[in-house]
Amino acid sequence: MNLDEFTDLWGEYAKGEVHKYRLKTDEINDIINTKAGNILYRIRRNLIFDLAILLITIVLGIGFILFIQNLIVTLLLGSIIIIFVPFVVMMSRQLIHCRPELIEQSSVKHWIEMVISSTEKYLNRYSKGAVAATILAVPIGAGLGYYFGSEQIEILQSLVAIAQNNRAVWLVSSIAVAVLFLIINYFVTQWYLKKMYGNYLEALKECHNELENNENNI
Amino acid sequence: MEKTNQHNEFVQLIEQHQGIVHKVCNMYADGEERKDLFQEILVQLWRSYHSFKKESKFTTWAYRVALNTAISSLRKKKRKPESVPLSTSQFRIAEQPIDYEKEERSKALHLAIKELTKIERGIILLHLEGYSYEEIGEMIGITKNHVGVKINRIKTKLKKIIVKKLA
Repeated sequence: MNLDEFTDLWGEYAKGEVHKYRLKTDEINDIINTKAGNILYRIRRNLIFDLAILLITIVLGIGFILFIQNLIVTLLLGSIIIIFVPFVVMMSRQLIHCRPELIEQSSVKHWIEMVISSTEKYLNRYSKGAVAATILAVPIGAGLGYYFGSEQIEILQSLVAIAQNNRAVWLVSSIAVAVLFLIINYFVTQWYLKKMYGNYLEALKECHNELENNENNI
Repeated sequence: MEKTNQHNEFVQLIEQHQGIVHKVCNMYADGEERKDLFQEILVQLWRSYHSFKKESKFTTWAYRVALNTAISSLRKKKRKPESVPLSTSQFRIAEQPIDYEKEERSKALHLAIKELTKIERGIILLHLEGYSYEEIGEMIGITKNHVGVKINRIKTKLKKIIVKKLA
C-alpha cells in the first residue's frame, strides 16, 4: 500500500464517521449542560467538597467546645481541630495548583505533566488523610463514647469496670484493635486508590516517557 | 445577554466543526466509551470557550483541547469487546458503487491506527489533518524535528501493520 494513500483513505473514512455521528443543535445543547469535564475538574470538585467538610467540622467543633465548656471535650475536639488545620492549608494550596482551565494553553506534554502531578498530590493527601482519620477515630471515639455514655449505658459501665480491674490487658487489647484497624484501613485505601487511579497514572506516565524519549533519542 | 450570544456562537461553531471531536473520538475510543469521550470533550470545549482569544484558528484550538482531554481522560475499563470498526459501505450514499478494495484498506487503516500509542495517534491525526510539523510540535510539546522523525516512524509502523492485515 502506498503511504500517500493514507491521507485520502483517512479523509474518506473520517467523513463517513462524522456523517454517521453528526449531532443536531439540541443534542449539542444537552451535552454542554452536563457536569462532565476533565480529570482536574473532578479532582478540584472533590477537593472543594473535602475542604468544605473539614471547615464545617472545625466550625462545629469550636461551637461545641464553647457550648459544652468541658475540659475532656475541649481536649478531644481541640486535637481534631489542630490536626485538621494542616490539611486545610495543604488542600487550599492544591486547589490553587490544580488549574483545569489551562488545558487550552498547554501542549499535550505539559498537560500530562500537570495532570500527573495534581493527581499524585491528591492521592498522597487522600492516603495521609485516611491514616490520620483512623489514628484519630479510635482514641477520640473511645473518649467521647466514655464521656457521653458511661453514666447511662450499662455495657459501657461494665467495660469501664473491666478496664479498671485489668488495666494492662485493656490497654494492650485497645492498642491491638487500633493498630489492626489502622492496618486494614491503610491497605483498603491503598487498594482502592490503585484500582481507581493506578492504571490511569501508569498510562499517563507511559505517554510522558514516550515524549521524553523522543527528546532524548534524537 | 453576552453569555447567550457566546453560547449561540459556540453551538454554531461546534455544529460547523464537530468533525474535529468525532475524529478525535474515533482515534481514542469505541462503542459506549466513544459517547462518553465525545461528551467530555464537548463540555471541555465549552468550559474553555470563554478564554478562547481568537488569535489562533478555532479548529487548531479545538484540536488542542480535544487531544489533551482524550489523552488524559479517565475512563472505566472496557467490559465489552472492542467494537468492529464500521466499513465505509455502511455510510456510503446508496447509489454510489462500493469499492471493496478501498473499503478493506480503509478498515485496515482504522485497525492499524488503533494499534498505535496514544501519542502516536495524536501526531498522525494532526498530520493527516494537514497540520505542519511546527504546529504539531507546538500542540504536542516537542520540536518540529522530533515530529518529523516520529511521523516517519509512525508511517513505517502503520505500513507494516496494514500489510500484515491485508495479507
